[in-house]
Amino acid sequence: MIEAQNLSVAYEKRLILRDIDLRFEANSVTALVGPNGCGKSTLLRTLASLHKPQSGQVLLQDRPLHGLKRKTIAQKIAYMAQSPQAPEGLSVRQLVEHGAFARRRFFKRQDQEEVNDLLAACGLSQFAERPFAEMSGGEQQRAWIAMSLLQKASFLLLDEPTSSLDLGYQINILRLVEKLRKIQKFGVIMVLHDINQASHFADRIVALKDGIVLSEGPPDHVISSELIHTLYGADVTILRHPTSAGVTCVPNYGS
Amino acid sequence: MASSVKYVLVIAALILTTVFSLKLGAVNASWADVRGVFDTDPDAVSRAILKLRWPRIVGAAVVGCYLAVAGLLFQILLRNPLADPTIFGVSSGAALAVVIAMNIVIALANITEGGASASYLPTQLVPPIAMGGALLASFAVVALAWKKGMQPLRLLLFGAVLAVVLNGAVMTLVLSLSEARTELAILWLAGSLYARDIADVLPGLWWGLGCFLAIGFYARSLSALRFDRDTAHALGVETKVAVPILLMAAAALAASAVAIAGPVGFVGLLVPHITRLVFGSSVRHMLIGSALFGALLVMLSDLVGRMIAPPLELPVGIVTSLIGAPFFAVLIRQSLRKVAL
Repeated sequence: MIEAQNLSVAYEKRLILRDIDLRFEANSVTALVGPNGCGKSTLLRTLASLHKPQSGQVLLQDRPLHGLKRKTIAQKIAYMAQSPQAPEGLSVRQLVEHGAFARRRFFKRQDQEEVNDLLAACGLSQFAERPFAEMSGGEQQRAWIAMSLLQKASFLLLDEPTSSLDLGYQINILRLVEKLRKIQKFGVIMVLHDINQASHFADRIVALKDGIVLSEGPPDHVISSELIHTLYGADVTILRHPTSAGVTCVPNYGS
Repeated sequence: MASSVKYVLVIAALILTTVFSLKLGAVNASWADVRGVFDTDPDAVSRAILKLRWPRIVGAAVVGCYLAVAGLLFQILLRNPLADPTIFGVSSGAALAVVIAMNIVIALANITEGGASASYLPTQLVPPIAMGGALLASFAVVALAWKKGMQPLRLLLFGAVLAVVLNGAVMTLVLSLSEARTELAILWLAGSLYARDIADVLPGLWWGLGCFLAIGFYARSLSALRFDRDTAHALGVETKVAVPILLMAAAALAASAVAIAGPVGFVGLLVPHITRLVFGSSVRHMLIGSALFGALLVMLSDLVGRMIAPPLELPVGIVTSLIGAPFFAVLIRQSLRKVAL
């Protein structure tokens, strides 16, 4: 379990998050939503110990995060940045193997079967030896996810995993994470831009605005036209999704 | 081609270069004399070869190996493919220390009336003095660039600024020396292996061993440090420990190389890129490959420098610069093209 207690975070003395209290269970999927600059990415980075809180703390299984070694944190929390930078010249397999950094002993070689299984699960087997740089955006994103999963952490934190992809790959990536959760048990905390994707793929939504939590809970309870209006200033109609459980919202464009 | 085959080829090239370095030079030795080097009781000619050429071959290998590995580390840690050990103030710090020492010795000789011969800086004192200057300068760069931790861009910029200042001071001091000594100073400043004794090289070996152990221990961190900072942290890399240790190892290797041969340019810049082309991007191959190619490049450059116009010789630093500068230009063009895309 990851717990934010009375968490305030600042960037260059500007307060980004104020008094956040949230708990994230190890086997749930949480989507952080909100307008640009609301602090959702900052919250995610603070939960991954990539940013120091100004006050309050983050607890990882009841232990304060700031006292832990990076290796210990990495064994529990995997984090995928919004646009991570890959070293030049690596193959997809070489990139993915870096995920085992925190788990590997000094003299032990990488267990290739583990990597192969993961590459297969992410649909990357046929690209394994190809240069990472030559892959398409969607394939690269799958490789990043494979790398994060090789950490075998109990939480996967994703910062806008779909932001630079076309609609096909967006769904593809989110379904992949959903599928992998059934193979490897882990909780997900992700920043998503698309409220409809959040509604479908998350069992809990946390809506942030101006550094505070406006609303949180199951998508059906949280998503309302009032909330969307407060968050984004957009006028929408909430509908039952025609083919799956859950709600979806469509913009009212006016006439 | 499998990496093992490539290693065999590089090592074969190293052995071949060693053999030719023993044979060729101001005086071309016969094959029999070269063979004589390995006898239990070598004759006079073989002994001369052993005494004069062997130390500079070992020196060249060590200098090349250290500079190349230092260059690789700087390029990864400073996140800049054009980083070179010389940018870290290492070369200019060493140069200034040596030139200051030359001036001090002259001043002392004038006071004590020890005669002209006493006014020369003893050669065996040059390596430790160079080492001191190199380390002092790299600490100065780190201290100047320090702002809540080490930041690559600040390190690069302060390294460049300090190098300019120190080089200016070096030139001023060199010009204030008398003619004969100016020549000696310039020979050292060009990066030369002329008249190196094995005693100049040996202390650097222990120094290097320590650095390589540290680098080996942090090799996997080094590999993960090639990702962006957040990703490296999230993977579990303790950057606050790994980065300073690796930077210190790189600076120490570069300082050690400069102490032996003076500032030899472009090796640290060039070799990691050649290695990546040949061995790929795995950090383990990059480290071992850079060490081997670095040794090979400097050994070959020294050999070429000795062969061009015997009995005179071109300092090894000039040869590596002559090869390095065009390569540098190509590299910049390529990285510009990448940015343009």
